[in-house]
Amino acid sequence: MRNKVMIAVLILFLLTGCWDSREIEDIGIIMGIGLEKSEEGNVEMVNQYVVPSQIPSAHGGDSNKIPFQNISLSGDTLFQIIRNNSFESNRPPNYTHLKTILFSSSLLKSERADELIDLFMRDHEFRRTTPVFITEESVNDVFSTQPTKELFPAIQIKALSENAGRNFFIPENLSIGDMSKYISENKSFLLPGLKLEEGKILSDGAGIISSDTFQFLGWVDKSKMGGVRFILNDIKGGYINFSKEEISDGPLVLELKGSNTTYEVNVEDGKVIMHLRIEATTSLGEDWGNYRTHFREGWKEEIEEASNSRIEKSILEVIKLAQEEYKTDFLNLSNWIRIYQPDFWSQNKKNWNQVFAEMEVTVEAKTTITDFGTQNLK
Amino acid sequence: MKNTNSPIVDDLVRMIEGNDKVTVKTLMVQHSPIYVIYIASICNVNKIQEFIVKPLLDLNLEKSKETPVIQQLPLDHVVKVGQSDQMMRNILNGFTLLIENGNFYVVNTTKFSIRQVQEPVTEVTLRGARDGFIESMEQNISMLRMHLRTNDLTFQEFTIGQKAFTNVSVAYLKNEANPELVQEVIKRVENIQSDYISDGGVVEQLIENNPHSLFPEVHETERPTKVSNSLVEGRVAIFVDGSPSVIIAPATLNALFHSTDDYNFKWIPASMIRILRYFAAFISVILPAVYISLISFHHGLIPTDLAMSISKTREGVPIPSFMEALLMELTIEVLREAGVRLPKPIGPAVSIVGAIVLGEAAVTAGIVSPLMVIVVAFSAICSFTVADYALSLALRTLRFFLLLSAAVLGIYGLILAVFLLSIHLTRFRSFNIPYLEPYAPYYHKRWKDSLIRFKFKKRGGQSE
Repeated sequence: MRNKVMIAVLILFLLTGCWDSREIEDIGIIMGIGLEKSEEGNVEMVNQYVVPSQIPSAHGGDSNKIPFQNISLSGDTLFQIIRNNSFESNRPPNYTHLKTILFSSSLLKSERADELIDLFMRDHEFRRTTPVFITEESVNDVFSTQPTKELFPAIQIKALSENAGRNFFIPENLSIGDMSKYISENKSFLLPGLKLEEGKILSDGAGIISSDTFQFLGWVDKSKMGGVRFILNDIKGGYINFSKEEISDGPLVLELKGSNTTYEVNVEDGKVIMHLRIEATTSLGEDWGNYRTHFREGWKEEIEEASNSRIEKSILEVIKLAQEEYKTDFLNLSNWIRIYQPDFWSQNKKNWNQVFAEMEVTVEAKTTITDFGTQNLK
Repeated sequence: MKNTNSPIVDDLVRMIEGNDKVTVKTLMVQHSPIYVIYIASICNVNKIQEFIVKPLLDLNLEKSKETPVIQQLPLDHVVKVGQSDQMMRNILNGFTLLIENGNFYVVNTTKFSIRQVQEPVTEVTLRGARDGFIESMEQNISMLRMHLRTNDLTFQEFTIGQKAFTNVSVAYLKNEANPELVQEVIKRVENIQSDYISDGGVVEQLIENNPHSLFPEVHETERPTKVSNSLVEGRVAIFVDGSPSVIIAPATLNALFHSTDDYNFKWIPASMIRILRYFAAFISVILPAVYISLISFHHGLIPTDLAMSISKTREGVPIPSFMEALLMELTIEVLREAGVRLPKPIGPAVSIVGAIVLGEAAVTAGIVSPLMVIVVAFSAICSFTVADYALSLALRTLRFFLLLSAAVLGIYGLILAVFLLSIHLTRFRSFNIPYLEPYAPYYHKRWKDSLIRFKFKKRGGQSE
């Protein structure tokens, strides 16, 4: 008995496989990866290394030092590039702390996204939770921008979506795991977009990846992101702003407290009719119409009505963009067809983008104002 | 000197006469000799003079015809004894031997020099009795009787040691202790074959079953209240003459974590502190190992900001993290040992100054990283919360074992080491009681006094 236990324990020690200890200061922690089209026509990869000794310490020190180093190399495969980093850096790259993967739109125009992310899915060091972004700018420029509050541009990019629950024009982060899910389900999807303006990194709409080639198709402007998020039922908060011209005694802001989208799908004569019903709960966030008569019946309904038509308009705008301009379903509406009309879906999933372009979508929004704030000045 | 009838007595008298520290007095009473034999340095000579010698000389002859002369002495307890080695033992225990007509009697005239009752140095409590055991077994038993007044309390006395003997007494409550346990303890005490027993700690090691284990198989204490509590729970205590530590058997890991304070304060805060103590012991064993495995194997498991700051502080440290940890652990152990050995007034000063100055200087010199100092210092402080010193020693030794496994195989090695430890502990028994009782085996009824001490029953019984 005792011998058996000893043997079992010994085997446990021998079954460890390839295993090596490496001190934390000897590895190159990679914060961000940027992928771009190189001048030679193949892939250029930017790895953002942390330079620990340049991190400003708590008690003062020189804050002008740049705590990161970007190593940019080109090659045919990402693996080749990563290994070739050793030409320049003695620290083996370690991707366990990877915060951001940034694609340039020019690269995704000519290369397939599913091929580009193969390494990230295959290698054990990459996490499926790393968010993915797309930009029109040069990836090198984005990664060289030193943010004011964060230390690393890669972290700044990831953190941009932290307020996505308060402002629905900012897209939620898309993790590389979700991206691979869309790819294996053969769906079009949106990658959160970025742009550079006056040396600052800004969130800027989203880029469409088509399901046909998994290449970049075009942009959804940030003003349309609200509509996108209503359709995706992804609203956690946000605001609806009415200018002086849009509402009497304006400007006025409604703050979204929550919203729920319900889907209704019918098939009539081989034609899909989809009805979206949005129920939004809002509070009166700011009202410049101090002389508004609150005793007049219907003043609240007027605002609610304005909000309804605003929501409906923003949704139809996005649907139009998807159906007419890009002819691809990046809004994941196929999901609801699959759920509500499974037979129709199984017949038509092969040419779904075509069916989608001809589908009829109607929207009905219902806004309620439940809160009016603490005090009215008059 | 007139010969007695028995040759044994002649031998004894001759043996003792060779030793000039032994006093032999021959008193002629009724024309026959009475020998009074004792060692003056360990006897109350005044008592002998007043209650033995003087009455013998003044004795009224007519009165003493029927009974032996010695039985008429105004003494509390006169015992008639037989064998000569027992006589010798009695003399060495401070008794006075009286010989009359070939009959041997002993009288308790013991007066060893003993220390005052003080509060034990190693076991500090905030509330409750402050008396601590001293080197005299008689006094210790009297202290126990003060705290535990019951006629259940039973003592069985033994003398062990071949070259020089030591009195050992096994105490238990007749109606509480399991007879098998009592038999087992008595058997093990009787089986001790040793030339000389210097302290309770030696007895402890001689009655242990598994001398290779790091964990203490019995509980050692200097507090009478701890002994009385344990006896009421059905445990057995072993008193060793000449040692202030009393051994309590069996010990379980659970019981070793308990402190008498736990019972003297209200149950919710007392339980909280007890849980804290378990937690601190766990941290003290595992923290350096976890730290090492995280920073040299699993960098991805550290939060990014922390990883970067660790990486920054380790930049420029010339030695690998495992050596760094070992160096700091050894330093702490040296400081601790020095603090114990140094004379009282300067001990704490040296260890505190040493720790602060050495740690600070090592960090400034860039030999170790500040985080390592935090890890090692915190785990050392955590180990001080363990109530039992023997257990604390075991945990300190274990820390090195876990550290080594973590340095070789990372978290995987650490988990393997914890496996080994669990296997050992679940198999380990103290006097046939499983060491991890009541967790493994699972006795949920005994959980009332484990991690949490439940409130006392108002209508009798220990706790509900």
